[in-house]
Amino acid sequence: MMETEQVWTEKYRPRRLSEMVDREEIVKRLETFVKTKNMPHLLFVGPPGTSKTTSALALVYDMYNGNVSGNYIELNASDERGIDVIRNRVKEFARSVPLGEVPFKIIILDECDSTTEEAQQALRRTMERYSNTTRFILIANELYKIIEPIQSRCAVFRFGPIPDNAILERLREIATKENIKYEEEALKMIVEKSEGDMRKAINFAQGAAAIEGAITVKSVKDFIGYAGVGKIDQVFEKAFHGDLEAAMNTLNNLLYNEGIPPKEIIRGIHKNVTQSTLSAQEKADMVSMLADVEYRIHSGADPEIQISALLAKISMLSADKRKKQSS
Amino acid sequence: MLREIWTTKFKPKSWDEIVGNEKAREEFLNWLKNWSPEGKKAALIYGPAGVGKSLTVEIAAKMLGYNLIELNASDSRTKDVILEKVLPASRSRSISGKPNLIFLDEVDGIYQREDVGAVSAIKQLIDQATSPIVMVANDPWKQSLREIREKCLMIEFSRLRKDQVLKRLKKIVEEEGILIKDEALEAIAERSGGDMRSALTDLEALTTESEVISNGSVKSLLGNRIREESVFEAIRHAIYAKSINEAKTHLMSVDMNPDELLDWIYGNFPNIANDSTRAYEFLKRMADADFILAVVQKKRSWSLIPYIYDLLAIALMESKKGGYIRLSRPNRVSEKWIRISKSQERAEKIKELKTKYHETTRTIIFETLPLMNFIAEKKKGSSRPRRK
Repeated sequence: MMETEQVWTEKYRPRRLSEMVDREEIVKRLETFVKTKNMPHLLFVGPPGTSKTTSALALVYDMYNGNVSGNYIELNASDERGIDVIRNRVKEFARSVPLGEVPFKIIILDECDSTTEEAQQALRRTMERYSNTTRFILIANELYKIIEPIQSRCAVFRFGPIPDNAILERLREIATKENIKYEEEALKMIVEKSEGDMRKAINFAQGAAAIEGAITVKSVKDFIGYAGVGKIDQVFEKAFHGDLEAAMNTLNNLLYNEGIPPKEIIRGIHKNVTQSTLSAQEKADMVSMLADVEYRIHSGADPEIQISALLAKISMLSADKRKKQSS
Repeated sequence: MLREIWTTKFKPKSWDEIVGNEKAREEFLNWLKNWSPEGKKAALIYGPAGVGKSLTVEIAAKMLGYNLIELNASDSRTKDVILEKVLPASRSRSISGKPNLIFLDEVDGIYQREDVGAVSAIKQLIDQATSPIVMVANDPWKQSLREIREKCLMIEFSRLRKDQVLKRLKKIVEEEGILIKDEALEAIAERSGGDMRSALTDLEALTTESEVISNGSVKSLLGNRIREESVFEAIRHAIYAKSINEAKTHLMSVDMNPDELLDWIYGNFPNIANDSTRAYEFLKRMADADFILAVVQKKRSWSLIPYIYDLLAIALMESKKGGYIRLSRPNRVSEKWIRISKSQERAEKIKELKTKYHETTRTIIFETLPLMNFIAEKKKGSSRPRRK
């Protein structure tokens, strides 16, 4: 049922470097690698939705002139199976000779900044060992989370937020290809809400279009209200308005039905806490507890129980506040 | 030959045969003897299961020559039944000339939805009756019963002591010539948690023609039900314990690992803690205990286990007191395996989409999956025929 509907971000992902419109500087340098059939290890850094993976895939495509199969693998560093699995897969992959005229194979490793320092050290050794036959393209959101020895072995490419007009143009192009009507105001609203994140913008557009077959201001609003992060805000709001049980039920739903990682829920609550009307002292207490809860969950404690205690504290603080106000 | 179940077969026939709760029974008997329309017209007897509440009503009625008109949870207790059938009976004598005693059993089982208007009908019944009305409940503190409570003499029955249960069991064993080891009989009494009915049921379930009942067979045959009751029992005891050590002793007597016990206590949170400060204190203790548990499991530091029991004991001792505390099997316990398999299924789906769309887990969870679900929902919605 779900599969019949192509996700637009994938459907309209540029295949070749020449199809990429909004990253001229980077594309120019990547095209040089293609021309010389050589490249160093690369490190792509930037926030989500800024064409890092797309650039890596397009580079691979052009480098092997479309014959990508067997010449590259795509791995995820945050994969729960850990760095050992990655090491083994790299070993396996690097053993066979590259096909065609390019003398190396490419390994794309996503979410590098989500791994521990130990894992990154292991990765660094792996990179050295196989550098004769392989090149790495490492992808990360934040540079400071990557250890120095890895940074120094890579050519670092920084991907900034995509300019608003580039997103706008892309949205118009997709809407036209999909034969979907749109309000110019609605597209502008999407651009504003997506904050330089192309993927988010395209997803917003597709979600809005699903509501009534057109991208209107109303349908954009409806879809943004529905999307995931809003639900974490609800958990906070319910607790903050004193309905602890409802907050805990929503929490369970997020954890067990929606499969939202506990860390993300804590992050969302954190955002809400700092923006709330709690006093500075209360905020400080909450932040300490947030840090403690995150640490505990990381150490193997139960997310539901830990986050529930967090919600109970929010609920208590807000109840005290209401009491004070009414007296 | 007709075989009665033991709870019927060994049901006391006279006032003196009833075990325990002497004071409460006396109070009820006096109320009934001295009943007048000017005093409290209704009594509400409450307390845990199997301690002789209904039995006391039945035998007292017989002793004092009342005609018992009983309405229990299996009868329909709608407003109409109460006002059209019970109310007239409460204002007259029976055909035999005996006065009527109206007996509403299990009134906490009246649900607003099914027994529409029943609570207000009971109020009206009490106001207009010229006969005594007695009600029985496990949990009389339900919000829906508030107005009824105010009109009643409240009589609390408590759990039977272990020696009281044991004495009764011993008598039956002797009369019936049942072969059972003393420690097995004691185990049944212990595990009954002061519920005579469950003790009798257990004894009946274990008795065979020839075999001697041992402690081991008590444990193995009476597995889960008793386990469940024993955890509730331990939780209730801990709530009313006088010291942390006493509360801990109750908790440690439960045949469960600390992690499972934690799930049971945590899962009953809404039944145990109510106002926002208590809720926080309770959940904070749970979270601390859970964290220590995680350390125990990860680092194999078993010596930390007593601290877990301390925190559980303190959390329970701090919680709400007064009245009967209703406990239930938490979803957290029942659905654990469903949740695990569901999350595995989900993880596979995420993995598949990750590869297919070259995306990170975070993106799949927060953007791709919600988008796909949204589109699927919308499609389902639009394929439904529209109402004109």
